[in-house]
Amino acid sequence: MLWLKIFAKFVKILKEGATPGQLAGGFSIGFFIGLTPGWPLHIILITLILLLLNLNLGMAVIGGTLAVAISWLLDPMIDTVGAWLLEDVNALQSIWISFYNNSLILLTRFNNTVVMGSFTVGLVLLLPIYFLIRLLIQQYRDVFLANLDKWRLTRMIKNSWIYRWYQRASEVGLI
Amino acid sequence: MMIRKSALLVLSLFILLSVATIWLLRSSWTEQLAENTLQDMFEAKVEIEGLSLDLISLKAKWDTLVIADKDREMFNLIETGPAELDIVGMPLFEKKIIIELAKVDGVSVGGRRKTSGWLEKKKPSKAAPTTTPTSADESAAGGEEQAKTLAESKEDIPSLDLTALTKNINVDGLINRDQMKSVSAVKSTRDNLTQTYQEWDKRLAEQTMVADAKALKARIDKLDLNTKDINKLKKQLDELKQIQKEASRLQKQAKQFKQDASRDWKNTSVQVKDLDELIDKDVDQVRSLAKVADMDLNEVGKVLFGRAVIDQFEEVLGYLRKAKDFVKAEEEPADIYERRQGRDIHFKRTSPALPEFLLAKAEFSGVDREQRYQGTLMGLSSSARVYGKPMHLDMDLSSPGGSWNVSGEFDRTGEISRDLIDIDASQVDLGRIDLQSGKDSGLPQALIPLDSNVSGLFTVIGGRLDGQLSLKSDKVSFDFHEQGSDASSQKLKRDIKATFKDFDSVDVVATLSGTLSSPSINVKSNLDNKISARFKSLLGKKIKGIEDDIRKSVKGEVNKELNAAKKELKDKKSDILGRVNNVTGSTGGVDKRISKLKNELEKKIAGSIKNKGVDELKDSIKNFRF
Repeated sequence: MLWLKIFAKFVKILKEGATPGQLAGGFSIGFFIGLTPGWPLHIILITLILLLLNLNLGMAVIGGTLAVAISWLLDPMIDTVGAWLLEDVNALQSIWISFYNNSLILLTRFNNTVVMGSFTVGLVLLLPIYFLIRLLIQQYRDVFLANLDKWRLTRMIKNSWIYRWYQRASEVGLI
Repeated sequence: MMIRKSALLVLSLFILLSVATIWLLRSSWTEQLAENTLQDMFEAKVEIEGLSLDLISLKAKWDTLVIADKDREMFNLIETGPAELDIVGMPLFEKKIIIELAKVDGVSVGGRRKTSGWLEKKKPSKAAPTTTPTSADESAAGGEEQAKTLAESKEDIPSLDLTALTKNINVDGLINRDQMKSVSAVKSTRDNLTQTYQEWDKRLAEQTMVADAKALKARIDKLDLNTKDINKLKKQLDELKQIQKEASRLQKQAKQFKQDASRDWKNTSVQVKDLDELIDKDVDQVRSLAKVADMDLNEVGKVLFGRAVIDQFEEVLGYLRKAKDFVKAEEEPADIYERRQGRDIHFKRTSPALPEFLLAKAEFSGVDREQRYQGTLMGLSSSARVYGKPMHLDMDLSSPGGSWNVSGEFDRTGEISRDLIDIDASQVDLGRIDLQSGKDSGLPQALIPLDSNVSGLFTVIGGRLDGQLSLKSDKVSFDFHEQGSDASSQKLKRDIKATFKDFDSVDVVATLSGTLSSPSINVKSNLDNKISARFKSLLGKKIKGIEDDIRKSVKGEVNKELNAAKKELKDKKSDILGRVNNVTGSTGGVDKRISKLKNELEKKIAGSIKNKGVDELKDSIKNFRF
């Protein structure tokens, strides 16, 4: 039932309340946070920004969870990107050396291949994810929801005893 | 995009609460953190009382600090009174504790504890050590081994029991035939002799050279040299050549046989000759049992001062071991790749690299057993290789007897560890130095030097040890044991005491060398030659008499067996070598006979060919017709 509740809430979020920009912003920043393992300093700061800005936190949790799963699968690629930036790009070496000699910046764990890789991948994907999610939500609201009641399948579900039982149960607070 | 006001409020509240909590718990929290860090370093319990941390000026203070000794459960390694520390701020972000300056008072070492100082998780277990030793720990373990070996070497110092000379030594009673090396060597030589004889007896019985020689002679006798048939003569020559080849092979075999016999019996003779060296060793052993082992008096310095010196070496090496424990060379463990873990890439340090813990400089002072001391310690770190500098110690000690300076350098920055301790003292009163000579030895019991100069330099580089301790005193006296009851021993003890009477100054130099696993000690003093000469004039004749008695008795025991062995060797050797000569002699002479016969045959063949040619010519002339 918990999953059903979460799903219902998710559907509700998509349907009403926050603007598509707030939802997409929450999702994309959550995704960015979820890509990076652990809690290095820059992730803590970004999380604070997420809390301070009027972005949707539910979407941030969903984005973060999805990012954790994706980063697990794409770890070798993320690691390669980080290692390349840290080891192979000569132009960046002087920057890394100055960062490495700064105790405060070291708290970001920038010299870790996965942290650097996930930061870079997250940064690259931040805006595309934001615009894509915003577009999808917009489309969902404008196209999908507007025509939902007209579909035969919707009518069949709404007339079924399961739907009626679910509505009664939610009215009396069972679900 | 708008700011979430409620989040701002919650965040501010959270920050305020966190600051308040840290402020309230800062003492216990920092105490716990410091105790844990130090416990990891010293592998023993650490107790800090009254720790306060000023987060703004980054200064720390404590009232007392007690660090237990990880090797001695009920003792403290170090105790301190009030201390002030200046902590460097930025490295704290890297979880590194860097103390720029520490001022510590009331330092004392080796105090007793009321409770055990061992950490539960690190309690040493005989069956399974709890920690993996680092290279520095291994060196320290070498130090343990060193101490043990030094203690053992104390027993190796010869004990000079001069009063033993006053007693009648029952040399026969001291000789144990079963343990005498020369006697057992004679026995084994005789066993070898019997074995060699049996082997050669068998080889002589099994050899076929005599029979082969006879067979060759018979083949020669069979040859018919009187025939005039040239073809038969040629056949006889071929047979003779074959016999010559076989005779030559037989002679080579006989020569080798003789060489083997000579070699084997020569070895047996050598074994008998080596017995003289073993007799000398047996004499030394009996001398040792008679307690006159080192009456040659070449090592008087070692005998007199050796034990006291080893005690000093052990004390210094004890401090060296402790220092080795503190100064660690550990490096960061290698990264192991796991998903979402990544690898840490390390870049060039433009600022000095910092270990997890560093005490850059500590100024300390304290009082311990009437000794007031103060000094500085620099570069105590959790990883000397990361810090890149060795630890330095400089300490001044003052006591009613005088003042000392101890300095040291403990270097774990490279692959090979280098430790150095330098001790210096001038015009100090060392009190009474127990020389640990035996009660009945007649030798002095203690040395009492006044206004002494002491210097010592100890180095341990890798496993290699080097140390020198020098004591110079212009005014000394010796203390002796009470006189014995025996009249003759009393007289000797008085004489020995008189031997030491005129010595005003003492100059002792003790050197420690070798490796950690097998150190060696040498002690020389300015008294060596003088005492040796005086002892020789006092005891020389008596000593020589005892030595002669011992040698005579040992030789008497050995000679019974040795003479029998020598006779047996002579008899068996002549028997075997005589028989071998017979064998080789039987193969001789054949070749000469063969050469002679061969010449005869060749002449006959040449003559037959010539005659045959003349006859054919005559026949041709007879039948010639015009």
